[in-house]
Amino acid sequence: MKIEHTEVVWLESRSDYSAHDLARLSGLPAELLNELVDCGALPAIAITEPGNARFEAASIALVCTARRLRDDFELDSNGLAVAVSLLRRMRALEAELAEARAQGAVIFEHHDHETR
Amino acid sequence: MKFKDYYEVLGVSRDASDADVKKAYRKLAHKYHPDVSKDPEGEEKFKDVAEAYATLKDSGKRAAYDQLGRHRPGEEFVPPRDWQRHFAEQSAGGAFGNGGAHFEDIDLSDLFAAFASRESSGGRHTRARAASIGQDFEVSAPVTLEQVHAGVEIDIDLAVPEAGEDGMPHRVAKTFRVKIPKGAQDGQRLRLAGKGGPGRNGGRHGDLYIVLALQPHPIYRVTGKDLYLDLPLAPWEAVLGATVEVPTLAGTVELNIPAGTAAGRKLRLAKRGLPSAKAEHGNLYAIVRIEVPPSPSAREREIYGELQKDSTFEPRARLFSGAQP
Repeated sequence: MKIEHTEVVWLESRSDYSAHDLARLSGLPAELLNELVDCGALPAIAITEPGNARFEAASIALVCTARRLRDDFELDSNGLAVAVSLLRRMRALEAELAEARAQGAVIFEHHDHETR
Repeated sequence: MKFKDYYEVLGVSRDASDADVKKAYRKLAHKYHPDVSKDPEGEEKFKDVAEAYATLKDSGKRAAYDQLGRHRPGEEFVPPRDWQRHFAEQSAGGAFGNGGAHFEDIDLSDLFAAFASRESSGGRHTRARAASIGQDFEVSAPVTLEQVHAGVEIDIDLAVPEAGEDGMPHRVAKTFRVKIPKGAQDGQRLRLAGKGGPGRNGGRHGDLYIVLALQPHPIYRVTGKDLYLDLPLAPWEAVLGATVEVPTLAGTVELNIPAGTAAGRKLRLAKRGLPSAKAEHGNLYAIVRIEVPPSPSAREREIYGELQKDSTFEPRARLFSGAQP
């Protein structure tokens, strides 16, 4: 079988991305990304001027998921903003849970016994 | 070409209304969408559901699909002759050549995607069709902790649609060899520009996105660049202290356990975690677990009995000290 050796681009290799970068990578229009920033659903690390926000690398996965949800559930911009906010909360909680599990948090089964 | 029963996939009858099709799709999307569902097989199921909906929600594509008649799912069938003629006419003097389109090894979903592309680009009556960018693909690549620690090349096998000599989207098996650098992280994405689906009418190829999926490890748990493992100690090792061997990704190391080490204590092995792109290493943390002999011998029971008699240690004293007046 023919094997292609391929030059790849690591998407999370840079520290920050413009709305245009995120639009190109996710397929969401830059205007919609700026709307999500304006309503507080999508955090920006800096807004150099109106409509010109900068984003951290972790936003790439978030907006790619947002694009899939928008397309697959036919969400309008309001529905998408709610979905993105909930996604962020869910991912933060999942990260906390994963960290707690990694650090060895164990939940034991508990059985009560009366001593008196 | 293998038949797919899109109505069966969505669980609707062939005369279902558009509203019923949409309702069935939404119900299944909520159940199987990979960003929503926890079903490990949800992604594959959702692909089928999305493919079925993409065809049945569009009246033109649905009518074309209905023309195929009824077959068993997976049954080989030949599309109507006028489909082949239709494609051949569309590409007259172009990609289909003189022999018309060949449908034998074409995936039904690719065929309907090609239909859609042709329709959106103006169909047969438009001389200059608009260029359209090829489809982007995203695949998950499982990698082990050892691979991420050392940095490796992995092969990713895919069947991607490519426009054949007849202009139809044939699935072609391809293997991409991709270098995974040391310290790559779970969920990290890489883009292979131009390795997605073919563009149409001069449009560029889509891109291929690969998302690294770090596989669970039997010993280590990962958080960022740090690794955690459970370090079982015998009660006497915890009380008296010991030197124990600990496995790390770079080999076994000896770790000094201080006397009086309690369960849950976190012992740090500096720079024994995962490397990062900046050549900085995370740490490995050993979480102490005190294990007891599952079936102690008579001698062990005797020694523990003596300890019980002679020891003044009260492990639960603090539980009640606050409750006393």
